[in-house]
Amino acid sequence: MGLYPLAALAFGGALLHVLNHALFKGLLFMGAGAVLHGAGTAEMEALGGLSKRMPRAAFLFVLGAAAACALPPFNGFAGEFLIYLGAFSALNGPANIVLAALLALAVLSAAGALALAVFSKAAGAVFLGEPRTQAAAGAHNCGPLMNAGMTLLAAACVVSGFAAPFLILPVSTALGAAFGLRTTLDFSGAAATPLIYLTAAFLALAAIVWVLAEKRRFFLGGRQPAAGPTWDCGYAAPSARMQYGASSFSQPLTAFFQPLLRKTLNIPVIAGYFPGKASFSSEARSVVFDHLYAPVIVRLRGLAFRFSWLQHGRLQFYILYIVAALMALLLWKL
Amino acid sequence: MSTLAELTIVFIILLNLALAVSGSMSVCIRLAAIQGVAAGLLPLLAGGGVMRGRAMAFAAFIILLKGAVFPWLMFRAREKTGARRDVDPLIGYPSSIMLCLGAFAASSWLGSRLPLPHSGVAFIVPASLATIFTGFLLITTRAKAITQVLGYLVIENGIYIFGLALFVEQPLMVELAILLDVFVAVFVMGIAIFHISREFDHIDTDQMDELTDWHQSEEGGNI
Amino acid sequence: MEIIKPLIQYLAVIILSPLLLGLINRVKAKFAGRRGQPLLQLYFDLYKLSYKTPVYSRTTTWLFRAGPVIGLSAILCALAALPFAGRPGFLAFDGDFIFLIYLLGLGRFFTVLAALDTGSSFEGMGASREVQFAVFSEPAFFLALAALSKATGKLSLSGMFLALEPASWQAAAPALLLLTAALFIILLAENSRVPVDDPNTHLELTMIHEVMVLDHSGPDLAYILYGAALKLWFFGALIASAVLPRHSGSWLYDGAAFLGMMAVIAAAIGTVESVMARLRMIKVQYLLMGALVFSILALLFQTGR
Repeated sequence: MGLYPLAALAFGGALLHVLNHALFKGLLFMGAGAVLHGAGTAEMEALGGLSKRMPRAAFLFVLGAAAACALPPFNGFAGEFLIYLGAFSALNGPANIVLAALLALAVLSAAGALALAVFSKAAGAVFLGEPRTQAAAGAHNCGPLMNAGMTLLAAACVVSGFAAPFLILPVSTALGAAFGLRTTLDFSGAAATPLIYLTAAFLALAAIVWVLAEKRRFFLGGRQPAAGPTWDCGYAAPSARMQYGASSFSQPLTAFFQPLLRKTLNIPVIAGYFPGKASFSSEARSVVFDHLYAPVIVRLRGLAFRFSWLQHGRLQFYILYIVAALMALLLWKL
Repeated sequence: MSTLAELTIVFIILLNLALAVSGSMSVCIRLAAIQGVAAGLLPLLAGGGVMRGRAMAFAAFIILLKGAVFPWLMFRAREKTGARRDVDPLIGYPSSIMLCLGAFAASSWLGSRLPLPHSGVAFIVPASLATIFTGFLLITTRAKAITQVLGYLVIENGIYIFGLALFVEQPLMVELAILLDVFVAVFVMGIAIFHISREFDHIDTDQMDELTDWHQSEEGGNI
Repeated sequence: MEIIKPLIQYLAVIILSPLLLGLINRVKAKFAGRRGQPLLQLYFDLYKLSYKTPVYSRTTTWLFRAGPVIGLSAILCALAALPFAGRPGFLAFDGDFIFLIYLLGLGRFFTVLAALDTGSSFEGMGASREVQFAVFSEPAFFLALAALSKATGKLSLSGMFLALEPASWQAAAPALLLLTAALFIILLAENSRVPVDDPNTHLELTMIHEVMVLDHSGPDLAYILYGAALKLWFFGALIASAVLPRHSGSWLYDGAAFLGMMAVIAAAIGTVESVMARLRMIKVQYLLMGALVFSILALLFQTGR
């Protein structure tokens, strides 16, 4: 069975990714909390330009977003790399396995590209550009404790990205506990070499970044760059609302997936040559929630409501319930 | 030679994909014609280089029929009925191309399960089944009557390629009989389309879903 | 581990890649009946831009200054792992192509963020379209490489290209043809060539890659232009290595043939740019889906063998 090592590789990759996922997801949620605390709102369309008001949080959020997109050299990459490697190794197997590998590769890569779109949208709409509302313009920085928590997780993301080969040990232990020694050996054997090469490549990347940054400083030669407004093609009155917001950034993609997303658009009817004020709104409700969860939950609640007479608030009857349950247990055991 | 035959099969499959997504009727007619010519060339390429006189004559006849006569008939039908240039597909580009691709994958799987003799050229059975499916796709997801005739022609291309895979004794005789049926059908359909369009002023089969008698009886006319 | 040969290959790539863009522009000029820019124009531009003082918008932050640096580093690191004339670069390991594609993604991420940093709707438009095209081109890229991996049975790029013989073209012709076509379409999309994007104009219709770098100037713009030339070399090298299966064993002869093939690919890109117009935005999505379908077909053909 030549397929056994591939399964170990892919499963180990998944476990490694879960481990790294905990780190960067925690960082991202903390970043969202910092934004909510500083600006008072989590609505992306109302934010913007927070990078100037909370610079440390912005830097750490961008780092977390890069890790979430599984970009090298951060920690999200190693797990996805092993899953991809497992799928590619599966291509040499029988035909149905090849089809499964094809599907896995197509979905994984599309999901990766969609993740990149989502996280660049999130980081861009919240932290970059100009503030879109007063709430964003008046945002205050989060305190040192908040920053410390995020810094800790971000440091963990960077370290576990560069030290991915060291993470093989805990993952192999988990695999061994679940599947036995053979899987552990298969996984560590297949994953060790590529991960070590990857760490070498990450170090090379870091070195190149440092060299290019120094070269840039050399080119600037101590001159001060000039400052000016963003190029607006000569438009007389640019405003912050003209920037691409979160929903407009993702509009080409949501338009393509419209049959799945069922976005509702509220388009105004514009008539005449000099129309007055008009407003446009679009809403993308969660299709899974509306059509899958909500009906089930409503049914469950209705069912549970039938038994609400059990909860009447009278203490004597609650004591009666306890005594009845104890009697039933006693009779059952006899 | 076998590489050339394989490349022709690949070309036919790519033509299927192009047929599934193209939106202009003249492009569709030309694509079906090219596919017919490629299918006609296949027995010459797959025969291992032996060019018998009869095989070449049959191939020339089929190529003439599918490459010249049928497109000419279809273009004439289109001019006579004054149909619009575009095809009005009922499902979008992504869905049609994914359906076509899924059909190819399914026919590959089906081809590996069917107990057919092993031919020298790979992918003949998947290509033929995929072509037949594309013909069905054209018939069901296009609203114009001319594209339905086109779908029928594409199905016939697929059957022809499938016949090559079966290595039936004298396959070309059988195929010629089928081809004669198709020729008559296209001819008759061409005449029928012309008459339909003269009667109803259009050839949109989507709108031809009610009998006029029913209408009259509902409005209190005479039955 | 060899050092000299990969080092010479790497230096050749770094020095020669701006020449590709010069070639493409010359071919386009020939088609238009003009004489065209000098072949070495991009070198002069890079030199001029490196010593200019940049202008930064007041809206931008550290991301705007870091974006070009990270983008160029990503592609430079990718070139260290890219095979040259079928021979491995500095780094070659199982699954290195996954690392390369994600390095391109790293460059894309920071370019998009630097574009959003300016707070301009032009850059936002380019960024939005860029990430949309990535959703279609990345699966196509991965599946094309999967088809190549299946055809050659190897898991590293240099392994795959070394295993390609003229006999493998005979045996796996349809799959290799289809995946080369898919790679060519992806090259056109990723390097902002017509019919996906027009690299010359700055009209709203063609705002994808060119507009994301609208606000950069000085050394940052030099980094971006150089990175674009390197990225063109990257994709062109993949196609050239797939198309040229002959390995005569002589490093010099193979290298010369490879460079000749790169020039042919540059001429082909120039020809395609001159005979086609840019596609509508919706049609670009369909073109990339076509590339995805080619890759899937290549993989299915290779499986059914």
